[in-house]
Amino acid sequence: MLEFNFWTILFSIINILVLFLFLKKFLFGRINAILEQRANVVQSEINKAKEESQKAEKIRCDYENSMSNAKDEAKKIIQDAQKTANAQSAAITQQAQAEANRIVESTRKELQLERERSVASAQNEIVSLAMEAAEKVLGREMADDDNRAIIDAFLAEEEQA
Amino acid sequence: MGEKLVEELENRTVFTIPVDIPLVGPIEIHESIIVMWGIMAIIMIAVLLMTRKLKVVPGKAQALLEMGVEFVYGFFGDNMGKAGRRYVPYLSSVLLYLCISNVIGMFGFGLKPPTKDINVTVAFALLSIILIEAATFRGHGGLLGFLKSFLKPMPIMLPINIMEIAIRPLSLCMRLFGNVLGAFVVMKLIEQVCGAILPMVFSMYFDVFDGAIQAYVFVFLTSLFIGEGIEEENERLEAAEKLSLTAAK
Repeated sequence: MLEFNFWTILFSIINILVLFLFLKKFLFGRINAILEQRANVVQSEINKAKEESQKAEKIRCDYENSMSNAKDEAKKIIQDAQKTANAQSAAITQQAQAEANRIVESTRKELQLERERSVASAQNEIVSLAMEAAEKVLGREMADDDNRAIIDAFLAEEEQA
Repeated sequence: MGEKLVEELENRTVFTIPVDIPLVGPIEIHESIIVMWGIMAIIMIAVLLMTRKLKVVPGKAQALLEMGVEFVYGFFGDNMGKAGRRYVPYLSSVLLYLCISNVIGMFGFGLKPPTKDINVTVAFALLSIILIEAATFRGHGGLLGFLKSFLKPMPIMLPINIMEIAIRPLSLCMRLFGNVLGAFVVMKLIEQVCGAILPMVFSMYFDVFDGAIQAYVFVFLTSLFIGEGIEEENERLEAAEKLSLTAAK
């Protein structure tokens, strides 16, 4: 029962070592390899997700920037358009005003001219009439030029009075 | 009755290879070695089948297997720390081997637990003490540190520390052998008193419970001794880790 046997001890040691090496290679080696692989996969997935979220954040920032830029741009365009429109309307108004003024002025001048002309023609008429009347009254022809001068002078006096 | 028991207790030689080797004689293959081969074959085939198609996304069987591996790493990690991770495969192999060896008697077919043969437990204990001393040597980083470790915790402990080299494997070997042999004898006696049902109930204690406990105790003590030997290495590792952590910050 308690006798020692060299061969049993030796073979037991060999058995244990063989089983250990076998398990180390085929159980622990494989399981640890797969665990490590899984850890790597998870790590890379986490990294990828982090990268993706960073990318998304960047895109969001860009989008916001471009949105605010577009808003500014639009505001500027509207302001410009408003300014242009204001300037144009002012110019048009001024032009119209000037045109109107011009028309009024020219009309006024024309009227003046017309009046002067009609006054002059009326004067002529009056002078003629007066000379005719005086001829009739005096019964003779008057020295035309002299008399005309006289009457003109008279009319001018009248006018001044 | 007594004769039969003595016959059962004997370590039968199954066959002998007639090669006369000086000092140790012809090669004898004992019953216990044959049973060990059988256990090895079963373990190897099972492992090969289970680890055939490992996937990154595990199925149920693979998840169970991984859980077992994680469990032994956690279990031995408590005793041996980080530096002891490299010794886990050996200790797990021994645990598995001993567990099956100790409980194999309950399956009948005239199978006797190989660990009831003192030569087998001597082999386990020898490998354990070699591993313990090698780990201690490594843990103290060389011969000088290894020799100094015999003066700890105080120089007066020197003779006890030296004796422990012999006492540790002896106690490991004898405890395992005695327990399995005792359980074996008790079970044989019970079987001779009553052949049915009763042995099954007692077998649950003497074979399964005691067998598993003894396998557990064997590897637990071995890992405890290794942990004692590599304590300084663990401290060094922790210090280095803390340093690298603070450096990273």
